Amino acid sequence: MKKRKITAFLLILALAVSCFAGCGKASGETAREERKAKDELIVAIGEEPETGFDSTTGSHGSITKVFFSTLFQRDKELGWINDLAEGYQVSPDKLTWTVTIRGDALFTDGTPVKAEDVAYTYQTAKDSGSDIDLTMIDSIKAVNDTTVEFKLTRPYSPFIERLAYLGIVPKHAHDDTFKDHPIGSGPYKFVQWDKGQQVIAVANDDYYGTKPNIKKLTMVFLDTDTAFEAVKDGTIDVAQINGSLAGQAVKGAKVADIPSIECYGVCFPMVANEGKLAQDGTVMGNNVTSDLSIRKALNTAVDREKIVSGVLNGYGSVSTTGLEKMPWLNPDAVLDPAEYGNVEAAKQILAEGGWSDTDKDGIVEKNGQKAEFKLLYTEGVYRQEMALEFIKVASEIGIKVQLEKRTWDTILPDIHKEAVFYGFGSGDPSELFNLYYGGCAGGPVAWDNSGVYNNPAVNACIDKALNATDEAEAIPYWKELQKYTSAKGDAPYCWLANANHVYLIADGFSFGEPVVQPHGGRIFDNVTEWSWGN
Amino acid sequence: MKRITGTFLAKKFIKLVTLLIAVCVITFVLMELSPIDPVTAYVGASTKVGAEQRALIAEHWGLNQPPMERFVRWFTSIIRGDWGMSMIYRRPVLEVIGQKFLSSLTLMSIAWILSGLIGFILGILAGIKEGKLADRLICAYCHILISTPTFWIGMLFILIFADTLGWFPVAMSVPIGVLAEDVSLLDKISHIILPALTLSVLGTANICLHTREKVSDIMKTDFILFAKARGESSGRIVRNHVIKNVSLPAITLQFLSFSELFGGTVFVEQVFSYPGLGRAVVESGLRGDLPLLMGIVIISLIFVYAGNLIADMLYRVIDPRIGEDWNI
Repeated sequence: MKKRKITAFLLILALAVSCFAGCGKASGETAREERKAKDELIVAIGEEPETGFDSTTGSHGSITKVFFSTLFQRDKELGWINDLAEGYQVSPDKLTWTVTIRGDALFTDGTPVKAEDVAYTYQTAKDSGSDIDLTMIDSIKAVNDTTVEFKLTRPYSPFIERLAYLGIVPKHAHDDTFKDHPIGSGPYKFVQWDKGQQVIAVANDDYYGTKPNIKKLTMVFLDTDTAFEAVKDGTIDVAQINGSLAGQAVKGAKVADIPSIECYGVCFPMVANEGKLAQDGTVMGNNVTSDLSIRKALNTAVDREKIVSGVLNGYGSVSTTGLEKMPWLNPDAVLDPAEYGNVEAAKQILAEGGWSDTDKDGIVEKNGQKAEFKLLYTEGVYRQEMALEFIKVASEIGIKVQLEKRTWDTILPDIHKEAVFYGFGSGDPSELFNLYYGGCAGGPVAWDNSGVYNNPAVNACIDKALNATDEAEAIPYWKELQKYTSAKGDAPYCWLANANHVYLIADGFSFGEPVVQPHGGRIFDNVTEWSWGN
Repeated sequence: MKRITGTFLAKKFIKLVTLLIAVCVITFVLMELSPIDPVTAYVGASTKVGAEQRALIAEHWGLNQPPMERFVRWFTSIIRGDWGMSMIYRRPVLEVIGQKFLSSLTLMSIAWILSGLIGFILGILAGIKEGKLADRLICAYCHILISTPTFWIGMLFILIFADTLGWFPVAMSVPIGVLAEDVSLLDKISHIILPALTLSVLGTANICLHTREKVSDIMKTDFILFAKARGESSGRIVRNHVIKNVSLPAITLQFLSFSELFGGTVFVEQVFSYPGLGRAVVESGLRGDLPLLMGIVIISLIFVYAGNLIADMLYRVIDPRIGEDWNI
């Protein structure tokens, strides 16, 4: 009798459990088929904007482009095309940018997008104390319904960059609850946000641009490993992963990698340590890396192709300038494959520079100074592996590099006196200012030109570039300065590789033709092109 | 009697207030000593935010003032009931905590009840069968659990129950891509089972081992020997003598476990991408969101303290012998 009761109980339990199993594996793939048929998509891309979907209180990265339109955007060749704008004009004194916007754009609540909304968006963002830097704007004025005037405090040629990432919000509906129920004029309409988990969007039928192929887009916020598993079992369709996961074969899905300018490199302190202090009181300079032959030898020795194939599993490309694929790259600055990965040539450079191993301990010296320094790196995908390859090659040519892991906070005390492993690639030419401008060195933002590089010719080029009317006029100057900043010139950096952005995508899905991805991604820029290919 | 309860509670309350102040000061000092710069943490290593904007951010959030001044300002406003704004979420701290705490609370209460019940039953079973196979199995099970980190169990559960068997969803508290009005209760339950199970596993071992110890003590007493001699079956012995004697320490222990429960949630929510307070703690700490961190510290302190207080009170209610002396 008792036994029968237990059996009955177990049976009930088993039934109950199999009930929950409804959302399990077997049904995962059928669910995906259903989504394909209905043009629905579930992706795990990017991070959740914790502040909500109010584009004026934080740069939300690429996800802005789902719900909002921006004034301009980069095209496939990384030039500029209009989004909401119809064009811009810069006044002769370069201090007034006049932007005209299209008249047919509608917010998802049916009201037209007016210049007044643009002005309101920029003013609010400027005052929000967030990570949207609009300090170069003096004032913003809506001249009429379709014209906005930005008065700048100084000529600033990369200003169009600031006009490309801020989603325009409707002035009349922008209140405290806006961040939970955003209203934009982008390709998708907001439906629901489960905080910490997912946001659901449907295609905006009133969108002025090409209507998106995917009719319902769900963006979930999962960590990489969980997302990978979820694509595997059919719960979701697309996940951003990293190259190390890409090696595993997954049934019903494949790896898609998109070229990026996510560039990794080592920054060398460029001056000798003479006890000079930065603004925050830290010591600047390193007696080993300040020697040009050390920097050139390392640039010559490191085999970038090995890093691409070994560390990035092939999902990336060699970089010797940090600017590959950018329209402002100076081709003369690029190292030829024969000019790197060459240990013998590197040793030759060291010998010519006066470095030799007199005490036979495997480390070269010059005037009693041993060739040793630290390389500081931070947590992040690929960083440790690339740094390890770098120090391995360094030891082959007799330079002892000690690898040390830090955080961005604990790196600060030594940032100007040791080599630092960086990842750059905002896709904005003005990043060259942050990297190489002498005036930044040792200033309030420690990692701006942390190597204290100061070449008057470079500074002059940067000044001219920033002072130009717009990007097109500035590009020749951006190109010119690379004569000095390349590995063939002063070699303030040893650039290593660009890591592609890697995605695991369900069979049948296509991203269309995405633009080259900057650091942080621009994947939603062409969200309207995404499709199931049916 | 009532008057005594009054002084007991008053004393407890004063203790709570002093403890709160002490913890607030310590948290603040620790955050000040940590190398985390809130502005940098807020901006990230972006090259698009210049020095001028960084200064504006510091000014906007009052981060440019000396630490003492910031603490006093925060302290006076919290006494007036204003918990401040969270820098990460750009919402009032209470709103953030309220949202997150609710979803954590469901998770924690399920885990708490589960671990209490399962642990208690297993403990009694092991206690009366001391030295036998059942006891050894239960003990081995408990020892394994106690020495396993929660997040690892979580990952193991995901691998077995969600990935291989496909019984439960991998993550989150709601089904993916389903509109709120279409989410059924069953959906919600199926999403909470795995994280709740993971969380309860840890508490189970603790309470089981304690109960077992107590039961085996009781089983050796004279009154059990007498009961056995009278011919009572082990079922009746358990019902009549063991449960009554064991329940008191078990209940106390269960209420005292609030702190471990809270700590465990942090890990479990991370592993299961479950949107609760746990994740907010990690974020606010790492990114120097002081108002939010302090808010969570205060709430969790009150939560744990309440657990201890309830245990204290229950002791007196269940066992009248303790009630005679209300001193603390």
